[in-house]
Amino acid sequence: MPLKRSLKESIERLSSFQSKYNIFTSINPSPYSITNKKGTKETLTGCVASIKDNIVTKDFPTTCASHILENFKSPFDATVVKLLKQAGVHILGKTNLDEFGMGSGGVHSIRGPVINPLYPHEDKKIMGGSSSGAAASVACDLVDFALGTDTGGSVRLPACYGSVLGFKPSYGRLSRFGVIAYSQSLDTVGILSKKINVLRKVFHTLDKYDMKDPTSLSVELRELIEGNKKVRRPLKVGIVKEFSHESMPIGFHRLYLSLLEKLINLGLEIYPVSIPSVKNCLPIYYTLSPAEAASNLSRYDGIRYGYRDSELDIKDGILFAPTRSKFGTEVKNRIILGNYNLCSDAFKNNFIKAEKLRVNLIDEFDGIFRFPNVLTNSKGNPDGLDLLIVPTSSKLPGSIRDFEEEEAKSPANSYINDVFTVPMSLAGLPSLSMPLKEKTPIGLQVVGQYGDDSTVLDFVESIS
Amino acid sequence: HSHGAPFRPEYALKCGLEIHTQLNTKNKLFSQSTNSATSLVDAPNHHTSYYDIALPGTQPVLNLEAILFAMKLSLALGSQVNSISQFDRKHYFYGDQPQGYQLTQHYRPFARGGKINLSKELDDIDESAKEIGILQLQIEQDTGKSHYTETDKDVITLVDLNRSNVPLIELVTKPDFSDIKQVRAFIKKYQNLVRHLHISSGDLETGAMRVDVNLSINEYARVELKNLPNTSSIINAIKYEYQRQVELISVGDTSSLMEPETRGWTGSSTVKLRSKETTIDYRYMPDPELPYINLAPDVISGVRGLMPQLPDDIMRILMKK
Amino acid sequence: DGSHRFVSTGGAKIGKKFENMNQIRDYLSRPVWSVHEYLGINTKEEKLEPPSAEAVKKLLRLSGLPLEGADIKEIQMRLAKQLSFINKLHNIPVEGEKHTKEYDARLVQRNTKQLNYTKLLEGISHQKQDAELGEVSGSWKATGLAAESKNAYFVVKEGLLKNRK
Repeated sequence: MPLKRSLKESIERLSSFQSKYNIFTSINPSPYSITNKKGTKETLTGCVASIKDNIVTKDFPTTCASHILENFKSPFDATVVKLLKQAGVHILGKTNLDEFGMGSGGVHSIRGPVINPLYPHEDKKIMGGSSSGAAASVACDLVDFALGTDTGGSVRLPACYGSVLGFKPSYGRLSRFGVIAYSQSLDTVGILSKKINVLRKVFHTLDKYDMKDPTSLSVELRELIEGNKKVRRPLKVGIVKEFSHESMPIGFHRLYLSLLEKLINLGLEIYPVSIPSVKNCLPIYYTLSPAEAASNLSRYDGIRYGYRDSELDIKDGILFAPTRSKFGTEVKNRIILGNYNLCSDAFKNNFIKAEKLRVNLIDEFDGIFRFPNVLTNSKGNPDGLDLLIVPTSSKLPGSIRDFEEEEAKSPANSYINDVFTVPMSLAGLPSLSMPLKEKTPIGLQVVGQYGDDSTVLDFVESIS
Repeated sequence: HSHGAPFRPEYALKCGLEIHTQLNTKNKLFSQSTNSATSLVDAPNHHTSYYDIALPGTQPVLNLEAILFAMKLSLALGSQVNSISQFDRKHYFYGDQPQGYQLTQHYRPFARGGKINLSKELDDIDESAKEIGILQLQIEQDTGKSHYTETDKDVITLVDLNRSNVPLIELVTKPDFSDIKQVRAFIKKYQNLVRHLHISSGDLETGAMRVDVNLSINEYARVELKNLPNTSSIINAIKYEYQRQVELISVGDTSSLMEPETRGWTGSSTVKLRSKETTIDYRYMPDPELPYINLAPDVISGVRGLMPQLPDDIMRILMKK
Repeated sequence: DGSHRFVSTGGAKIGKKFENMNQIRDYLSRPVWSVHEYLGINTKEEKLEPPSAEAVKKLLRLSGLPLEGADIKEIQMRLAKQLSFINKLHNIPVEGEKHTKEYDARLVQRNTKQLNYTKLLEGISHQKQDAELGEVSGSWKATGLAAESKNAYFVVKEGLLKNRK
C-alpha cells in the first residue's frame, strides 16, 4: 500500500461520499499545495489532509458548523495549517463537526449529522463527535490524515466509531493558535489516520513551540522531556480498575483479551491499577468546560464578523440577543449552564471545587507513572507504569434517531459517552485510540504520562 | 471653604477614588498593535490587530512593558508587589468590548497596599499631614470608544477599537478622603507622579486618566459617581452629592440611601444609573490561557535602580536649600 | 480486590503484576462501577429543585440570549438535570484540602518560571509587531469582515430609544 493517496483520485471520489455521509462543510477549490519545497523530499509532501472546521484557514470559510459564523473567512491560517502547507500537504477541505465542538454524536451541526460510513446499508448511525467529519474523511480513505480537536474525547471517540487511529497529544504540544476556543484549559489539536507512520510524521511536523499560543509547551520543557527519555524494558502496562464497567459492547472483551494476550507474549508486564479520581471526572469536566465555553462564545455578537441579525442588535433590553439567538440548541444549553457555573455562588461552590479535584486527578496519575511530569515536577514513580490501556467507548455507535431521543430525555445521557476519554483531557495526557479490529467500531486508548507522547506512538507502532 | 456650601462635621464624608490610568507603552496589552490611544487624528480601527477585534482563534500574549510600568508605579507608591499575579475575565456585553469580557486582575492583583502622603506645605490641604492609603493596583484592558448618534428615529453607536486592549492600571484608594481639598490634592499629586515616571500622560481631558468616586455619609450605603471628565466635575459632583445626601438625611428620608447605587454626573447634578438589583454579575473567571505572572525578587531591586527621584523628595530638598 | 495487593501511591495504587491470562480474565470480569451511577439511577438522592424562572431569565440575560421565544420551563428542567449531574462534586472530598490549590488545575508548569529583571528587559526589547497577527497599523481593513460598518467604524444598532434599558 502506498503511503500517499492520489489527490486526483480523492477529488473524483469525493462527491459521492459527501452526498452519502455529509463529511465536509466546504471543499477546497484548489487543493494543490503551493510549496517552494517541491525539490526537497519533505516527508509529508503530496499527502492529502482534511481540517476540522473549527480551525481557521485563509483559503476557505471557517464556520464551526454554526449559523453564527456562516460565510466567515479568516484573514489568517492557524499555525497547524500553516505548518502543513509549508510541508507541502494538499488540503482537501474542512470537515463537519458538532457546532463549536460541543457534542459527542456529530449530530449538532447546521449542515446536518455526519453519517457513519462503516454502516453503508443500515439505519443511519452516528459517527461520534465532535470531530465527526474528520473521522469520516479518514474512514472513507479520502485523505491520508485529518486534523481534529479534542477537548474531552472529540478526536478519540469518532476515531473509535470509524475504526481509525485518533491521537490526542499532550496538552500544549501542538499550537492552538487559530483553533477556535471551546475550553482552552482542555482543547488539544488531534490527528486521525489509518496509518501509524503517517500519524507519526504529522505529529512530528506539528510538534513545535509557537510563541503565538500562550499555552504552547516551552522549548525548555520540551528539552527537559527529551532528557527524561530512557529505554524502559520491559514496558509496564496498567489496566485501570475504575474503567472496568459492567456494560461494554458485545465483542469488546474477546478483542480486549486477545490484545492483552498478545502483549504478554511480546514480553510486556501487565498490572492492575486503581485511580479513584477518574470516577469524578465527568462532573469536573461538565463544571469547567461549559464555563470556559460560555466565556469564549461571548465574543460572537455579530458586530465585527460572522452572521448578524439584519434588524437590531438589542432585544428585551439584552444586547446582541437577536444575533446570538442563532446559536444551536446544544450550544445555547452549554452557554446557560456555563454562566450558571460562573455566577458568584456556584463559582465558589462548584468551579473552585472542580479545579481542586482536577489537581487531585493529575496528582494521582503522577503517582502511578514511571515517567516524570515536567509540569508538576513529579519525579516519577520508580516502580510506576509506562502506559495505561483504557477502552475508548462503552457503546457501539447507535442510530442517529436513538441518540437524539436519548439526549432529549436528559443531556446527561450523552455526557456519559465521554466517561473513558475525559480523564486524559483533564490531566493533559497523550492518548491514542486504536481500533481492535478492522472496520469494527471498537477501540482502546493507549495512554502515557504527560509529555511521553513518543512512548505511546512507539507502542502502537510496535503492535500495528 | 471658599467655594460652595461648607462641609458640616455632623455629616461626615467618607470618600475613596478609583482611578484608571492609561499606560503609554509602545504597544497594546495583549497584542503588539500600536498604542495610540489619545491620538485624535487616527482613522478609526486603524490600530487593531486580529486579537484586538477578537477574531476567532486569536490568543492573548502579554506585553511585558506593562509589567515594567506597573512595577514603577507600585514602587513609587510603596505598594507590596505580589510575587504571583494573574489575569481574570470580567464578563459583560457592550459594543466597545469585543471579547464580551475584559481582562483584568480580580483574584490576584499586581500589587496591594501603599500610600500617598499629602501635606499642608506641599499640597495645600488643611491638615498638616494626611495619608491616603491604596488598596490595590491592577493591570487591565481598556475598551474601545463608542460614539452615539441619535436621530429622531433611532440610536446608532459607532465603535472605534483603536483604544481597545490598551493597558490601564486601575488604582483603588481606601475611603480615606474626608474633604474636597484632599481629593483635589491627591489627583494633582498622582497625575504629577505618573508623568514624572513617564508611564502615562495623566491627562483627564483626553481620557488618559479617569476618576470614579465612591462616597458615603455617616455610614449610609456607598454611592459610586461616574462620568467625571475633569477635576472640576469630580469636585462639583462630590459637592452636589454631599448636599443631596445631607438634605435627605436631615429630613429623615434615608430609604434611598440604604442600598449601594451608581450615579452619573450630568454637569450640574448626579442621576441614578444603576441600583443594586440591576448590577451585573460579572462572573469573574481566571483566564484559562494566560500564564501567571511570577516575578523574581530581583525585578523589584532592578526597577528600583531605574527610578528617578520622586517629586516630593525633590521638593523637600529644594525647600531645605 | 481479590488476590491483588495494591501498593499505595497517593490516592492511586498499582497492584501486583498479572502472572497469566486467567488472572486478567478474572480481574476484568468484576466490573467496579457503572456509568449509570452518574445518572442517579442507582442512587437515592433528594430530587433537586430546579432553578426558579427568575433565575433562568437572569441566566438568559447574562448569556446574551433572548427571553422571547425561550421555553423557560424546559430550560429549568434541563438545568435541574445538568445540575444533579455536576452537583455530585459536592459530596466528593478534596484530598489534602490544605495544600491543594485551584491554581494548579491548569496544564501549565505549576511553579511558573520566575521572570527576573534581565529577562524582563530582554523580553521587552525583543517584542515586535507581527504582520501575521495583523498588528501593523492599517495593514488590513478591520471592518472588512463586518456585515455593516460606517466610515470605517463598527456599528451597533440600538434601535428605538424605548428599547433601551
